[in-house]
Amino acid sequence: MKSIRIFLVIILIAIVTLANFIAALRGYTGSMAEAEKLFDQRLLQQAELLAYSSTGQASEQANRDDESAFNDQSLQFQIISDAGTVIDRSASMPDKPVTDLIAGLNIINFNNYRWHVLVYKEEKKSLWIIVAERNDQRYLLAESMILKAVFPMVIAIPIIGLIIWLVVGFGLRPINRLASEFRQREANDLSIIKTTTMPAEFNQLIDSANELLRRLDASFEREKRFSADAAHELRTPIAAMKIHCDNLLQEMPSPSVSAINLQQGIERMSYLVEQILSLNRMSPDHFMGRFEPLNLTQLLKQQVAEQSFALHQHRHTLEFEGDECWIMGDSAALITLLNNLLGNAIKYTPKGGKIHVATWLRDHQVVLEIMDNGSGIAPDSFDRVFDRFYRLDGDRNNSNVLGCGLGLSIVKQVVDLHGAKITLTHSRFATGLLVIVSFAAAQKPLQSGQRTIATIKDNPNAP
Amino acid sequence: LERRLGTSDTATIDVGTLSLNTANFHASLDGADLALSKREYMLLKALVENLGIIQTKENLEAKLYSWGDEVASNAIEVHIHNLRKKLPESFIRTVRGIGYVVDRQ
Repeated sequence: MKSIRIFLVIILIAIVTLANFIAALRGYTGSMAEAEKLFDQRLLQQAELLAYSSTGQASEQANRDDESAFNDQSLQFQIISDAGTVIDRSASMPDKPVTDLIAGLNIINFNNYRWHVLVYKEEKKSLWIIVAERNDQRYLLAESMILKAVFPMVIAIPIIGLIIWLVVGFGLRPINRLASEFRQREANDLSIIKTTTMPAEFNQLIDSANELLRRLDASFEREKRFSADAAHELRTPIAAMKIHCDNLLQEMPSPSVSAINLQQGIERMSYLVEQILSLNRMSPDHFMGRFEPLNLTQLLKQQVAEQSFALHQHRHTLEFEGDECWIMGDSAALITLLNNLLGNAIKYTPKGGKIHVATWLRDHQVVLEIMDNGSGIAPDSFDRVFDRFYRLDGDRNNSNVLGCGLGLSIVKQVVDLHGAKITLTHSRFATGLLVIVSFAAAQKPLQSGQRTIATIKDNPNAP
Repeated sequence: LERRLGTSDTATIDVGTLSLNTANFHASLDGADLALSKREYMLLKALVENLGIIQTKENLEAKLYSWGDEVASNAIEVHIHNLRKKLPESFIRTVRGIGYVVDRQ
């Protein structure tokens, strides 16, 4: 992928350089022509000056050499009488006239150089004056002058380049902003990009991107809704099947094994559908809970009461200990969490097991503990058990325990919704699992009609 | 959502040898009258009405006392203690830290 910035900088510098070069070339030729005129004028002035100061005698030659203008090797002169004899000359000039005595400008060669020569006729004194200037020196002088004028342009190019680099970078900043807007997005954030903060050039791009996002969002939404809708639609036929199966079992004088298996299958299917719906309700996209201060301890005890039959059926001994803890939470979501954790502890602990539940207030944390003395989970599976439809030992579990591998996924979602943390570890019993969920503690609301409860230990009648 | 067993709408609730007449607040064990205080009766009724369902201590307090009553923190324990003396052993099962339950016989 080419960089727009590098492309623009190179192109702009090239254009500036070309324009500069053309301008310099034009300036050079123009200046040279001007300089030529200027130099010719100088020759004429020198000639007039010489004519004015000349006496027509040959005696002043020594003084002439001192004259500064003529010390310069570039400017030489001859003063010639009407008769054609050189009566005065600068040091390096020959004794004879260097050119024909025809008034005007000329270019001739002598003394191994090329000269610009002006022949000037002084009418009053009847003198010819020849002023000569070396072409190469005139050229050097003119060139050095012009180069001094052109040189800043050459220096300016890198400076212009730097400025272009910065300005282009500044001008392209909205692209970076747009890019970071996309980069910073969460994977599931398909909200529309606002066009107001972006330059007008981006409108079309942003509109297209927004259109794409809208379509993606809609299709994701359909995708997500599908499983929930399907599960919801399955509820009615499953309920009907359940009733008919129960009726069938009642009508049978002695229930057949198949009918009992059928009932269990329906039970399992119904459970699966409920779990899928529950998972969907607790997903961050669909969660519509209301967070309020909740007595987690109370909620836990109520859910234990809800599980009374299952507990009794499995002959488990359940104990609670701990403090009365308040958290900010959604009661429906937390009930789902507690039911799943308690359900797991009850289901996966062999008959006559021990289950220990607790809520502790530790600093600003509320720690919920659910511990059993079942077979537990191997530490290397701790992460995997939160995956959807993952079940320990695969199908072996399916045969005797009602479950579909969604419980802990649901729990994890509820935990995430509450900004809580879930940890799986070894039980403090000899075997088993300890699930620790830590929430941020909340203040108990003042107007609550809750009675304070003190647990009295060592009292056989105390609950 | 409160689950109730179907026995609550009939006048008498029978659990094993215990019989509770909800019409006249009368309780009998093995046919013999059981002398219960009002609170003890209400407590026992709450437990047998929800046979097999653990009744949390807070739940029982709410049923026995009206809102605003001063309730001693161990009031329920005291009543349970007294009830147990009059009932068969382990008729009322303690769920430590949570509450009490009368299991289905």
